[in-house]
Amino acid sequence: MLRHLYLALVVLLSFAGMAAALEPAGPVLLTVDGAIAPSRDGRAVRLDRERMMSLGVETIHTTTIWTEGEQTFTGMPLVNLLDALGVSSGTLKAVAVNDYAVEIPVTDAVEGGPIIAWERNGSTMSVRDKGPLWLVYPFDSVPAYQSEVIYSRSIWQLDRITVEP
Amino acid sequence: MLPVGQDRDDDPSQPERGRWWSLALSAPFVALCIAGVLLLSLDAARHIEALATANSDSSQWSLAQLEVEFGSHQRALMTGAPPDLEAVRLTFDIFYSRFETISKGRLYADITTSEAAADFRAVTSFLAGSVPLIDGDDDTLRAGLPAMAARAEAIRPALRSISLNGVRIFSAQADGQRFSVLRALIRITALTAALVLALAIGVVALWRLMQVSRQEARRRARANHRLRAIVSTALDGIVVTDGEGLILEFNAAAQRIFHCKREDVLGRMAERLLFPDSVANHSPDADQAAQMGRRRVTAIRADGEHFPAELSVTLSEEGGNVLRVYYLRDITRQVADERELVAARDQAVAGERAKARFLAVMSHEMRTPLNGLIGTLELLNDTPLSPEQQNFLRIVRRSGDVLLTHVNDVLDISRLETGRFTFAEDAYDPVAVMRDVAETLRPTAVAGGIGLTADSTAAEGLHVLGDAQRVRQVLVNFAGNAIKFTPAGEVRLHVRHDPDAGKLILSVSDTGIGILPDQVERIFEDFVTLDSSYMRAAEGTGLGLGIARRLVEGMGGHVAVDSAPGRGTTFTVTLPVRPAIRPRPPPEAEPVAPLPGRKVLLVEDNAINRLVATSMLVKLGQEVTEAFDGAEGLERAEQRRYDLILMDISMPRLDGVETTRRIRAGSGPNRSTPIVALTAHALPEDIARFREAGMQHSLTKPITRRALAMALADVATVITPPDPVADAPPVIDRETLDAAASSLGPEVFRTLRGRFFDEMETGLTRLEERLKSGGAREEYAGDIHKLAGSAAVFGATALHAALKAQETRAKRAEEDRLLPGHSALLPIWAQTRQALSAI
Repeated sequence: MLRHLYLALVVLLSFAGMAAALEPAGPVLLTVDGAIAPSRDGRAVRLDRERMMSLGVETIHTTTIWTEGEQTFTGMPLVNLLDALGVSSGTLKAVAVNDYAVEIPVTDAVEGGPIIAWERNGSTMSVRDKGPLWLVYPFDSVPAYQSEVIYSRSIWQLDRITVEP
Repeated sequence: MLPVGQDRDDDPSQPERGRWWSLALSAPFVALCIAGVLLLSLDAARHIEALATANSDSSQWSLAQLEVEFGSHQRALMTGAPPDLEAVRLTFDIFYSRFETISKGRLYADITTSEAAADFRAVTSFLAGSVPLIDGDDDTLRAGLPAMAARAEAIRPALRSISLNGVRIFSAQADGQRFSVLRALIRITALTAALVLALAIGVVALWRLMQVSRQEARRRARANHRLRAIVSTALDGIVVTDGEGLILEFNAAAQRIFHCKREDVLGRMAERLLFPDSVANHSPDADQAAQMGRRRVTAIRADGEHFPAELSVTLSEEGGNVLRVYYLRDITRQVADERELVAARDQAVAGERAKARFLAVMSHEMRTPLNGLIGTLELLNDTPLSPEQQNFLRIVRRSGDVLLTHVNDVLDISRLETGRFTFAEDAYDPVAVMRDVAETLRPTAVAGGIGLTADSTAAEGLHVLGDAQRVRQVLVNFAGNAIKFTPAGEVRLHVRHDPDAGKLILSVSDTGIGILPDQVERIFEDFVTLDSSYMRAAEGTGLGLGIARRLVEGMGGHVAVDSAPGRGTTFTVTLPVRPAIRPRPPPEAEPVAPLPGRKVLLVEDNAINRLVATSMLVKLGQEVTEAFDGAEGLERAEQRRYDLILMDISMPRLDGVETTRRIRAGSGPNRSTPIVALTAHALPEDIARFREAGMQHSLTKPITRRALAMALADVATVITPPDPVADAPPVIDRETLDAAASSLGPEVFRTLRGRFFDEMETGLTRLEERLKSGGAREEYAGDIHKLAGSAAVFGATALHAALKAQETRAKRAEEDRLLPGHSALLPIWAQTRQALSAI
């Protein structure tokens, strides 16, 4: 809990900083817009890898129905991102590079839930390799995630999220 | 409340019916249902799980997407000048990624089969060929674009084939899945139906159970109501307590009996409250009391009044708790009634005793003066009288006899009634008895102008065992009655003997007035005379026939009456008899032999009786000493020895029994002198008492000369106390003697008889001397035994018996009786010798 507060503080401070220097230093991997922190005034948040790493890094070991063998994913918990953006309800509309789009309820963002991974098996993911980002649920540790709906939400080649209230 | 549960056994079929249902709902069945439901749930869950666990993703969409994304890439490749290299790279990467997903993903394992392997290989080689160009610099890529486009065009069919193949396989898989879901659903439906059925059965069972239990409850309620009604309306007090004795129930009757209110006693100790003593207390005894049935106890009312009650206690159980139920009845009135009854009975018994005492006293008081009267008349008869005086005397004697008969009748009745009547068991000749009766009554019959005959079909000389005196009395009664009620005609006596049946049949027939059938039974009632209008010639108490029948029944026989009014009556007496082995010579036939003079002590307080007895004894040639009471008798007995003592029983100062006891206990000269009781009491227990005191005989008053003579004769023959049962043996048994005589022949018999006489004469004299000189008793006994043997040969029964008795005395060493015993042998021997010599 304390950790969350701390993270929230860090993010708020960094977003406050973002107001001055808006553009991140590295290549932008994810753009978040829609009903996010009111102070943003409708402007999108653009996150590079460094930003995302500052919101907390988590590693998931799991198999998926699309890959062979157990995979190791490293990324940022979705809940951390939404906490940082002050989103507590609504739906996320996630869109991929290949124009795949899916709606994810905010309630999916829980502790021990999905992460937005940028690394698979220790390597950064390219588009060819379902990069740059892949929303991965811990399918093995939580069997409830082994469902058609969750599979459809596990979007790869993710690059844009729109928060809908 | 009363234990209601107790009535559960009044309809045992009820729980039987309920059992089926409870069985249906029993544990195994319920477990089965639960197992079914569980199985069903698990099965359903498994299938739902299988459906929930998505394994197909949007596979079809991905396959379609493969061609779509390949199309995008182709379009990017063919976009003219200048070509959009970024779009080429991005669409390649996206297509690459898609293909990777399909060729490597677990979901698509089914479609990467061998038949599609060639298509996959073609696409893979296209991608592998393109990667260096895509990853290379823009110029190289730009240069390679036409070639890439051409190669891309070349793998289009392969992609289509993969796609179509995928659609086909996925459709088949979906079909299979649907089918398995269908199967699961069918199973679920079946199981659900089964469960519903089971539940329905359960519901029915529950409903039935409910019905049964409702019925049971109604039944119990009714039983309870009934029980309460019974308890509350019972006439007996009912008190129910728990195991501790605290009152739980107290019915209306109990409230009435104890004069208290139910509310006041509930919860209090029953024992302490209701019963003053511990009889009914619920100590350990109370449980025993429960098994004792009805008892009488004393109970106590609320106002402290004690009253008798009849109490019974039963134990029962209600749910493991002991209940005591006291049933109580106030028997105050009953007890009072009983007391009254007991008092009445006691009074009646006392009255009966008084009557018996009165009869005994009367018999004594009447017979004593009668004794004097009859005795004196007998003496008067021996004095010179004028014919007129003799006539008067006869009348007076006859009246006296009648009076004596009446007194005896009354006595007989009382004795027969009380069962204190004993019958003799002597040999007698019934024909002779009948003839004697006929002779006795002949004067009366002649006087009445009636014929009297006596005949018999019995063997001449028949002797049977029985009480001749009583048989005579019976015959006299019936014959006398017949004569009395026969105005004219005939009275016939008859005797018949049935040796096979052991019966003696005596009948008395008359041609008299007869008896109506409905009155036959009445004639045997006491004090009844049927025809009072008929002028009765003879006096009578009306007891005669009653006594006769009682006597016959007392002897084990019965009386039959056959009568027709106007034609006459026949009384038939049937008596069980045993033939007598040795007929006793009838005493009547034996004339009173002249008796040797003896010294007799007469102890009698009544002056008249004393005078009569003394006169008779003197006439019999006896030497008499008188004593006027027991004390004087005792004194006289101390002074000198007597041959016989006649002892009155009822005397002032010292009675006869006590006097006898003292004479026997003392050391006087009459210690072993025979003593004969003179008594008006002749009850069997009295005679036993006399004998116990030391008296050999008893004579019942009034005393006759004949009776006295016989007593004296008995004393003369047997001085020692005779065996009460044995008959006095005859001097000679003719049968034995005749047998001996005929077998020996007259010559030899005479010789032997002479030798026997010598043996006896010398033997008795020699033995007496030896006895006096104190010789060995065994030797004496042996010699007496030899003499006894000789006596038996000649049929000298009396002598033989006397010798055997003497032998016994010698063997027993009865010193003081040996010498008198020996002396007593001499007169018997004299008689025997006389009798034998006569032959």
